[in-house]
Amino acid sequence: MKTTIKELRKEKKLSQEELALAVGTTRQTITSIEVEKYTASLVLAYKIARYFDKKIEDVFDFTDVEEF
Amino acid sequence: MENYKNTIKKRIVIMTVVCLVVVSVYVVNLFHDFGTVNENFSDYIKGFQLGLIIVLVIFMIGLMRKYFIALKNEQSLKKLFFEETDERARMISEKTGGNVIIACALCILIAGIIAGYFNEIIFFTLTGCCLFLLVTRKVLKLYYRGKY
Repeated sequence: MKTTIKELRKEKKLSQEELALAVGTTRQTITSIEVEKYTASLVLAYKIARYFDKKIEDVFDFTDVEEF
Repeated sequence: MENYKNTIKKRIVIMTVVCLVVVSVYVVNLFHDFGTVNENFSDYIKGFQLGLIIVLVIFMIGLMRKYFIALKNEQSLKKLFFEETDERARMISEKTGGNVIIACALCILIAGIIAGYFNEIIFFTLTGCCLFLLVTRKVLKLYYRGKY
């Protein structure tokens, strides 16, 4: 799933490690989400979106899901 | 986080007890001959057990060191907690058999060591089986870490 995490992170000048600690996960998970290998759970997606003060759909691209 | 701190303290106590028990059992075993079918094989079994105990104790000491550092530093504790509760790591662990494989491998290994006192073929078969389980799990973990 496409996300805007990388861009949002760069805007805030945050490292993957810092974001991971802020949302309660590991750096590897953030990397996997950013490179679209892993799809975050609803809880993690919510935490990430809330951390950036955005809605989930602003951070995660649901276009593929909406097609079904 | 306070609950997790208590969990870590309990783990340290359990690991210390396990280390002491394992070393004590080995020392008792050294001075007491339980009798085996093959005298040459007896040395092999003792060597295997010593190697296993050394690896186990080193592994546990390494883990305990990690836990002690986490207990002293709040940031390390948080990081360790997130590592253990990470959803991706949990998913990969579940896909590779979770704790069931580890429990099975451990039971097979213990059975193999006990069987070693009576029959060397059973010992080699069970130890090989345990090794196969652990290697398969590790390979699958590496594969899924690359995939997800």
